[in-house]
Amino acid sequence: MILPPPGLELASPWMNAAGSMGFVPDSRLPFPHPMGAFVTNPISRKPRTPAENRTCIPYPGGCLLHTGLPNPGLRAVLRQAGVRWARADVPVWVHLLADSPAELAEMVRALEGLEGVAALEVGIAPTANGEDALALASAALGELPVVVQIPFDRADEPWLDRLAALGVSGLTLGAPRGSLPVPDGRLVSGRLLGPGLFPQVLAAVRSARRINLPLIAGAGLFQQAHAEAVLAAGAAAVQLDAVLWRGWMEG
Amino acid sequence: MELNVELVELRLEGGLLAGRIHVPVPVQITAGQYFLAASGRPDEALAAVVFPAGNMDGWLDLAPPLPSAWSAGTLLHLRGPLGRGFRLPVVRRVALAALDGITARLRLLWNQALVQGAEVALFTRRIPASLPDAVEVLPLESLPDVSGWAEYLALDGTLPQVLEWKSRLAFPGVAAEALVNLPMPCGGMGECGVCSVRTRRGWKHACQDGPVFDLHELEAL
Repeated sequence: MILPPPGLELASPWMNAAGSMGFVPDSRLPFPHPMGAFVTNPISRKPRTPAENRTCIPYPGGCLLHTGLPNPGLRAVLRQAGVRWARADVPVWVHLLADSPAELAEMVRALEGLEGVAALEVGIAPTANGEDALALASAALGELPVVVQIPFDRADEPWLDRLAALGVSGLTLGAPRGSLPVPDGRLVSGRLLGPGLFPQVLAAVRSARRINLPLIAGAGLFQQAHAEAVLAAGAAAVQLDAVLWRGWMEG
Repeated sequence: MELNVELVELRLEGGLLAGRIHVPVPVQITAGQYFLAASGRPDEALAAVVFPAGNMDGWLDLAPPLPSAWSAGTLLHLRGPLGRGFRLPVVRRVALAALDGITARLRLLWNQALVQGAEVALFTRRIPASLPDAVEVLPLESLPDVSGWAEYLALDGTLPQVLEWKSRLAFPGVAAEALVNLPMPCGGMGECGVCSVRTRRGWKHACQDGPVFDLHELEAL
């Protein structure tokens, strides 16, 4: 296992995934272990409204969730949550969505120096090519540690090997995207969540060990034994997503 | 509140599964609130949204539809009650409408209205199996005719159904609410946004701010 660099140390390897617990840590919400860090819902510079065709479609082994990642925009989030991040009893990782390096750099500047914010997690769009993704990662670098989040089905892509040299502090292997048909014949695309993803996320962790960065497994962990298995396979931490809404499944 | 319970009884209501659980502690529920219920089944990644249809003497009746894979004896982890329920004012005449044909989610509300001494009219395309004599059942299509009679109106259906009926009804000055039936996988925990509802006060989450909304506040998609 590659240990997290200074500034990114975790008291516990258990975290939530972006999109699973809102924008502010809330100790009243159930979490199965002491929390190493809290990851906010994805935040964009400007407000994002919900997707018109937002939906949650179960399928054997999981569900497809399409929301459009709605959020009130960074300025509104800072107004509503900034004080609570500073008072939080866990480190806060702010998950950022950006369309361009310039936009991301502007968001990063607004977050640097904020009390309670321990790291930035930069979400890479599923369609972004490697060079665009690297440009985004570079734009996020500054005072705060930067963790790049990709869908785990991109773990084999060669551009990831350049992240460590760039100065990125970690890599999150998050939920992949998929598509399902809906009754009117259209295809809906969205994030895939569920225990059926576990064999793939485990394989992705094993593949991504080559990149010499701390890895965070952030999808498909619905049994405690599965989460422990990815930690044993080399992940420095795990991020739990929809399992938090329902509780562990029994093995 | 989080509870581990056992599904002790299943029955068909209108061709859909309804059920009953025993709850070891008293649970205060407002009509329209819901629970997330997770079974141990490995093929159910998400907890099911279940609505109480009765709450008496340690028993909680669950409205249909329940997941078809559940059977008597299924162990459930319940979280709730969640969300905002109906706010029935003290009125004399109450109109309830089951837009999707499932009346059970309105059962706690009509019971509350009857306790308050109100007359209750239920508009539905499907007559429920067990109904107090005091509740008058009327065809859903006649709902617009009730505008001069009802002092309170409650709709229950999908968001498109609620918005369609809202556009067909004129209830000026009448308190009106709607239970909007949407997927609510996170139960308010994640603010994931899949249950977003557009209102005059901006986007709201059905899982937290609803699933019951002031009908006058709801805006078209």
